[in-house]
Amino acid sequence: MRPVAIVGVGMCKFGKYKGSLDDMMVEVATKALADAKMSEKDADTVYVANMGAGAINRQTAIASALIDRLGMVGNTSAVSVENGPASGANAVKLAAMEVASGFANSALVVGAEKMRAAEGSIVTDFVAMMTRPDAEYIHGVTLPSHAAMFARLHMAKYNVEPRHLAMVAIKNQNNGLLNPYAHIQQKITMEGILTLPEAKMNNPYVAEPLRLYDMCPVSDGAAAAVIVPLEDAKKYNDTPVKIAGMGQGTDLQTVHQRKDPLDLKAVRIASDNAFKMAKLERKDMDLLELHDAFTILEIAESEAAGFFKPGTGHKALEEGITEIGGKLPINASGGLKARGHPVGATGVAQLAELTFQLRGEAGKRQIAKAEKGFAINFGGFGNNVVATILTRP
Amino acid sequence: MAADKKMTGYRCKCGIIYYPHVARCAECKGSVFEQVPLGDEAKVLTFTHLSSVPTGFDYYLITLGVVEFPNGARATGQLIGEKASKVRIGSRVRPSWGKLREIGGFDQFGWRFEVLD
Repeated sequence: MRPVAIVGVGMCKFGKYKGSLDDMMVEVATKALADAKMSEKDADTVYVANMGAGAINRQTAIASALIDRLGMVGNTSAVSVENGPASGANAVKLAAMEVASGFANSALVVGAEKMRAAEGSIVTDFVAMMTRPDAEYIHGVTLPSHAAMFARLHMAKYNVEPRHLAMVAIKNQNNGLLNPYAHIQQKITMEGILTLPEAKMNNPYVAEPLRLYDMCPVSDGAAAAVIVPLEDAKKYNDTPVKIAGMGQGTDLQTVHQRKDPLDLKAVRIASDNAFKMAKLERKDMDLLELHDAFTILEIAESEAAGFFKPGTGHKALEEGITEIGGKLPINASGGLKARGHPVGATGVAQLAELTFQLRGEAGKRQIAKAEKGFAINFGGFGNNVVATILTRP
Repeated sequence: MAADKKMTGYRCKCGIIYYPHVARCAECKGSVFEQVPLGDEAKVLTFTHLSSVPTGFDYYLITLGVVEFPNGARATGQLIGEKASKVRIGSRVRPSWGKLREIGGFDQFGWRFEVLD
């Protein structure tokens, strides 16, 4: 297997997208191809990550749609990838493997999701379909309810307070203000979302103990990346970024069946596997993009991925370690909380963000001297997780 | 239908009880399971009051929880009854058969848990 690199990335502004799902895919693909000096070339293989187009956009097999719009048909293969919210990083993993194996010499990966096409309860329901049908979904279990039941246990065991969850929301929304791609462009304060009497109105419980501002928004969004062999990378881009390590871990879908409901086993395994492949250590990382679909997950993943000891993630947050300018910034992009979480797009967007950061192109949110970054793309309620390490070669 | 119905789990040879059924045990990989009653009472391990309710419910708020039976088996479900709004970790619950929600235009039935204290 030969090493591979990302030589082009593209994103659209997350939020409410005016055009169609196809328009959104074409926009980011065109940007990534241009970034890789491939505007007039075809990729050997195309992967498109998406979770809900069949349910909410009445469109399936969207990789075939994308290559049609791009005029990239013939020898180019096209594959749609659906693996819940981990679809994005999984598509990158498959593309990286295809290029690493020598089966393809260039791959285009797009993650796209147009969620605002449907009303809120329908979106909640389609996301909930990834829970176990006869043990969870049938009872009304949703992802926010899983996160809430997890948060109640985590908070009780480790003395995490509502203010810690609010601190994640405030940090990530502040970071989002520095990210032109982020959906949520709103400054919030501890007073406004937690301590003043009107905070109860501004920030009501959605799934107690989680409140509105503990949840990521419902967003449209897309991101793309071009992957080639590392040895050829400089032909495409002056500042390639190496895919140094990828790891995947899985766990039981039925959350109540897990021995320890607080052990995010798949995060731990995916992270260990990524570090093993990269031959790097946690202390080598300059920044993290974690899957904060709910504020509690940023804290819990920072521990499960091995960056902080169990029960200390909220303390690192409190000490400012995870802020831009801190020792280990988490979600400088604003994370899912502010950038948004168009489910199939998220994993690709996280890696596009790390690429911007490692190339020194992240503007006001740039982490100084960023050379190595790590991402967690969390599928299901932690039952299918992909970890990725990107580095400057 | 419901009066004589009991919740049933599936005990693997290694001792783990699954609810509902799985094809193979994640621990020992065994595929032979014995049906076992889960019991008439369980305790709440964790819960949430969910106000963002998915489609198929007539209510604006439901309470969901994970409960554990004396034999160690666990289940997820709706916590119901007058005491559901005051539920806490450790509350006792009793399985109760009834309508869960509507999916695709059809009523779905299953086990809910009545909060006893």
